[in-house]
Amino acid sequence: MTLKINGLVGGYSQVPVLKNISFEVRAGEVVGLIGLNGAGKSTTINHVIGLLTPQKGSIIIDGATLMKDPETYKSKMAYIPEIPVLYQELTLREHIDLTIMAYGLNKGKAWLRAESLLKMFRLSNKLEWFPANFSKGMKQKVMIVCAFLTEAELYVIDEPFLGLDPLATRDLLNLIQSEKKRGAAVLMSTHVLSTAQEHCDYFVLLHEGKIKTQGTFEELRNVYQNQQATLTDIYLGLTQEVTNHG
Amino acid sequence: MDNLWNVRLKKYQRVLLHYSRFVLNDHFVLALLFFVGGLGLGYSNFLRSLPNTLEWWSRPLMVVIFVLMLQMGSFVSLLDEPDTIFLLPLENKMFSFLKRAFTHSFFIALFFQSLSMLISIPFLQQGVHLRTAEIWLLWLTQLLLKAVYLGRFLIISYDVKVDKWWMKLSVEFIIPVSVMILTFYLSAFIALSLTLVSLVVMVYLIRKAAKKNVFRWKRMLQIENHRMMSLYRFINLFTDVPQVKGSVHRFKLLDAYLPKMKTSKDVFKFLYWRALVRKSEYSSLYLRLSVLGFVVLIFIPNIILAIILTMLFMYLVGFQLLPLYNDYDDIIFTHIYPLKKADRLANFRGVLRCLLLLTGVLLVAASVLATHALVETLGVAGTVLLMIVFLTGNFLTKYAVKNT
Repeated sequence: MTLKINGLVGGYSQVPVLKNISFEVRAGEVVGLIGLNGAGKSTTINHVIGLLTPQKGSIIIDGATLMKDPETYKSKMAYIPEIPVLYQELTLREHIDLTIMAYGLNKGKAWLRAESLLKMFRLSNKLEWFPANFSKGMKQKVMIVCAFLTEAELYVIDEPFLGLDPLATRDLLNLIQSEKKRGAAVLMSTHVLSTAQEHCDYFVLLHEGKIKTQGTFEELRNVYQNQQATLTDIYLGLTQEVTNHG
Repeated sequence: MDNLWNVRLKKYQRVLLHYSRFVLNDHFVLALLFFVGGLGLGYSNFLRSLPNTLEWWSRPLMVVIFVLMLQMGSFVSLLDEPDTIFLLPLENKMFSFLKRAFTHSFFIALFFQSLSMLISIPFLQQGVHLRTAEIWLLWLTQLLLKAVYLGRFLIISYDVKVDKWWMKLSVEFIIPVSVMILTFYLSAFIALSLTLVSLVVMVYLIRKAAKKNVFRWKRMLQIENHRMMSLYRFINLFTDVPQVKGSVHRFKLLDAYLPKMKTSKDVFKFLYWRALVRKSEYSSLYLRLSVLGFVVLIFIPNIILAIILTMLFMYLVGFQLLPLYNDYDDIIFTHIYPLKKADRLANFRGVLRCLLLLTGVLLVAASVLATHALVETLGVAGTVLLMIVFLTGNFLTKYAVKNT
């Protein structure tokens, strides 16, 4: 499984926010999409999940594009939004049922998996509740459960750690690691740089709609010419450099 | 605090003025004029037909009507959601704000109560044979009852202990009914004195509650939001109000009849039925129109009119349910799930057909109850089927294409 983004130009209006973005997310790899507010992280993600249409360039999952084969494209992907989105009138159980239906999963197996996920995030006793009335953190957990239930080939995760308690953050990171071992690809946008440094294999640093630099952590250190630098140092250094020059 | 109230009131009146332009549109005013005119004519005819002796039902009728009249107009506090944060430091001054709110609510109520009093005077004189002095006493009693009614909101804005169903029942029902029975059967003067006593007790309770407790922000906000929502829902009949989102209720008993999880083909069927049953904006709309159609048709013996009304109600039900098709557009996952676009339309068509058929069955049943001849009832049934074919056919496809 590979997600290939090639020369992507796009945004919400005629004026592009993203200017010529290219990177890849391969199976068994966690890619961190790093950038300031407004750098273009969410816009990139919106293009990947198909809410926006590229003005130029292409986004391909295993040879399938959204234009030519939307069902194949979408069936390979699970998404966790930055702000939880829930159906007002569905219970937690029905959210899970719906996810199983929509992805055409095996009912028995998927429910077994759902139960272990629900237990991990301490939601087992809330199956008959309307999650739309949950707190932000609990809604986010529902999003996580529904996404990881699908055993997708590609996970697209937007700012996953906001509002999660430390226990849930740890469990989410473990989940990402185990999915990675299974062979899934993960594209994750975040500001939490210390966590990203530890858990991502590859980094894409966005600034003002362009890729400032990309590579593994070692490669980033080489670019920054400091082998002791943390991701925060590199990120701040590179963006400030850009700001000063610009 | 006075200043704050004035600002709030101005803002509120601006909102009302803005929407009144939509509510009081030409068609509606014209229809209202006809309606009021017809009602007035009916009322005067009815008064003329009254015998000189007292009818057995006239006094109970007045008790019921005055108690119903009392329910008009609620407590207008004009509290707003952010107040719980921004007005928190002014907690101890909230009582003077509430007093302004009470005065405003009372003057609004004064107008409406007096207006309805004015309308009932002819019947009070000719139907119940009240003397002028008694009518004045009744008017005063009704106003004081309204003050007690509104005073309850001042108590519960401080005291959680009396915010109970029995308190609401006594203030809004038991006391008014007793007072009205006293007025019409015993003495208007005694009734007025009793109301005065309850008002004094009320004022005492309010002062006590406000001294001992803190202002109940959440509860008062809930009450105000509830009031604004019913206002918006009314306005929503005429124009779109952004605040009207409707509420969600589970109706657990109906869960057994909802579609179970199947394949990805039925995702939208799964969603649409749940939205219909649990989201009040759809369920209440559908039920109201269907029941209204049923009731109206029962009283229409003329078959041509019955068929026209059948067409009208089928069209209204179908047309008003169309927005359900786009109900899930705001939810990102609807676009992200690997689903076929055609399945959604097919699912919606099935759901709409089923609902229209149910309404149709009701309308045909009404036609039977209206004692139409067999051929005529078959005519109504045929109209129903034709309307279903029309509404769920090309008409729906065109709507779907236009709205995706």
